[in-house]
Amino acid sequence: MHEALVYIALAIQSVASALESTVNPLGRPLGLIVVGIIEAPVVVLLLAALLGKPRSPKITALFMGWVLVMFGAFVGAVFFLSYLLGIFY
Amino acid sequence: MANSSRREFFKKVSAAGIFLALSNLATKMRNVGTPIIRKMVGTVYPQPVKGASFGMMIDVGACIGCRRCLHACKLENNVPDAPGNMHWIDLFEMDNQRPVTEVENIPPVGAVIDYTDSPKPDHWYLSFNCFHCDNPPCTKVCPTGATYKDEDGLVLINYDICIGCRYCMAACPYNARRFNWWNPELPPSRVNPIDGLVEPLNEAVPIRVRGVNEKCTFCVHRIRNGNPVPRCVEVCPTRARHFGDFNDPDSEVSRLLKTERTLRIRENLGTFPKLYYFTRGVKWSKDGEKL
Amino acid sequence: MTDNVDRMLRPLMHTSREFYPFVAILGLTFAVSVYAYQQQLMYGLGVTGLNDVTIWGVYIANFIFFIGISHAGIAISAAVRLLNAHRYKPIARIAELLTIVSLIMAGMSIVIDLGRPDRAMLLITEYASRFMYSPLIWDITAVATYLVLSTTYLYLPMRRDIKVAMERSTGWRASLFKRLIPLYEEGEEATIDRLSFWLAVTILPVMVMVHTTVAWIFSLLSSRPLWFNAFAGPYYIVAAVASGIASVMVIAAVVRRIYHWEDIIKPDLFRGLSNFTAMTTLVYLYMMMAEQLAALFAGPSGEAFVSEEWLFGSFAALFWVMTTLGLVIPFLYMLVQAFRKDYVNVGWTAAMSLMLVIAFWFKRYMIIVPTLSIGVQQVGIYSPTWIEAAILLGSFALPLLLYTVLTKVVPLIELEVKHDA
Repeated sequence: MHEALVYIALAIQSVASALESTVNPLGRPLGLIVVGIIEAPVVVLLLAALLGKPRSPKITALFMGWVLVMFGAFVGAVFFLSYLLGIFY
Repeated sequence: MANSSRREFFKKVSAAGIFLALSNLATKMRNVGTPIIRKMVGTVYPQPVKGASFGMMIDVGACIGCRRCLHACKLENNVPDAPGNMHWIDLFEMDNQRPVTEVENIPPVGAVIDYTDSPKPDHWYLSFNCFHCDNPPCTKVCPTGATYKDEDGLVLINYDICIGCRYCMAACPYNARRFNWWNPELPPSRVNPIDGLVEPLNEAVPIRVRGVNEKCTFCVHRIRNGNPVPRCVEVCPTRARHFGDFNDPDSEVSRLLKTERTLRIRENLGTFPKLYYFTRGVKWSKDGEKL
Repeated sequence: MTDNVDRMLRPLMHTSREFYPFVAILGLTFAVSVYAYQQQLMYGLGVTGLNDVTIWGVYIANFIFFIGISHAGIAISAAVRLLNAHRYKPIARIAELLTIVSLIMAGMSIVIDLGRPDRAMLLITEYASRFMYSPLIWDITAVATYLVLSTTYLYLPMRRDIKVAMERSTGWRASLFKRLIPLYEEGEEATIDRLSFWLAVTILPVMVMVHTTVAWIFSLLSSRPLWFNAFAGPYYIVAAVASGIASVMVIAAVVRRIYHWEDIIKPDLFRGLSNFTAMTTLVYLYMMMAEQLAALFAGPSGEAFVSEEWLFGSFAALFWVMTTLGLVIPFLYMLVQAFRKDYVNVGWTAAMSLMLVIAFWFKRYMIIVPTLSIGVQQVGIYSPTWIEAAILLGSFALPLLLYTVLTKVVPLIELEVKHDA
């Protein structure tokens, strides 16, 4: 499973190089705007889930847990796909 | 008990330390892309030439369409002949009726790709390779950052991060990029079809596998290691191709840019290509004598 | 009412004899496509008909198509929940399940197109350094968000129905259903309804951004004729809604017949959907016309060239058959049906919808290939090979298979909430 460690290291250095980088070929942070527009409704949803009434701790935990599990399943699926297809290369 | 928990603690600390060291190393590099991979895991190119801005000039009037550049490039850069014949340089035979400026599509409409017997009267020859644009569309769209513009103006590919999505090929307005549709068959040496000489596989150039993108690199392994020109410029019999550093006011290309009327392909797209065409039409032999 | 609940839960409780051979055939088709993909993995993408000029073909057309189909689910669900269009409640979950299955297929279609799919993980690890620039990364962001939210939106309200199913079953089924609803507490319906409302509200803009970012993959490339235009987002979304709702109509008609739900999924539901699809198809035909007219009248040489290939050249046969048979005729049928008050023929509507869906697949193909083919002197140099055909077939067998299997655990029809007196 050393691939998992390599990927984690890659992800960290990707964040680091993005924070450090002064070059932006687009000249403007277009990606920030786009990702912001995509994720803004999600922020609204999280606020509604955590702060609205009626709410119950169990359902909130279930909701957040399910979202995180689904996201983890997505990343995990990509990881295992990469891992399995590696046998062809 | 205490021993094992101390060992656990030590392991955690050293793991955190390694991650911190890696990030620290990464932050020292200024580039849009993935520097750590390039240094440690991925395609290793020589260090960029600081402050340079490499580019190329081609005298369209001097080009005789002999294709020496095409074949020399293939042998220099280990570009495969089989299963799919790939060439980084394209040569097109154009009718004189087509002005040089009217090249909208690549290949241009009306261009002949598989011509023989050049040069023909009333025709001119257009040579294409990657323009290493100053505002490259291909590097913008790469989802992993495998293709990037380096400090000395070269647009390069990290063959170990390329996932083969071919988005860069869709973005390139010049069809300059090639894809490895098959696993290349590269024998240890090949014969140059133009002059019949045998040339071995070039060890300075990485071998690519199927599924990744590749293109002209301005012979990065040569120009960053002291060799002044790429292979195609070296072998041109009429010295139609010129190469140099645009940031150096004494270089050949800077002087030509000042004295010649140059044009670039599809300039309206704002890519700022670094390959200029001009039509001086003077054919020079290798030792400076006019042909 | 108890009768109806039993009938609505029947797929979960009972597996008919026809289920197994159907699943077996789908599985076999999928197995053939897996073999074809293995060939592609071993020898490279050269086994397809793709080349350095036509770099994308059937796989990417598939990708856009499945993203398009996935829009139906939330569109219908949101209409039910936010616009109080309760008439469509019986098919809301059918549509949501379709959304999830087609999003999975869209993701697989992209991976199949990659030259190095074993490096797909790099899309995730390099995210931080690339999300500022690459439209593909924006697309992955949107699709991942949409997928996560859609599964949540499917699962949360489903718990109530699974509880009812659990109460009415015994043995391994009962324990399976019990495991599907962890942390169940009485009276959770109110909280879940509120969460579902907010989910519906937030998934809608995410859905719009999903197809906008997919459209941007093509329309942000200024050098490509007929791709580069500012209105690509709405253009693709209209196609998505039309093809998505048409797909829902097909599936609903089939499911209705198989499970004898003719009185639960009423004909006037199909009438409403068919009217809406007719309108959307008309809007899309209008957009197609506007696009081609602009390209032919004063388009730069690239645009005029591609448009001529669409209408009069190598792609003309495909284009005109697709447009007349696949878009105009179903539109006319649905239009005539709309004017005949209170009349709807579910069978014919479903058939016309199927034609629409197939036509939209070819329209996605038309978006990709002609614009790329302009790069060579001979246009139309791309012809798909058997490997692409096999993988294409598998890419339709797999979602059908997934959908069929999931009907065993996902109640297709939302049960009415029992308000205890």
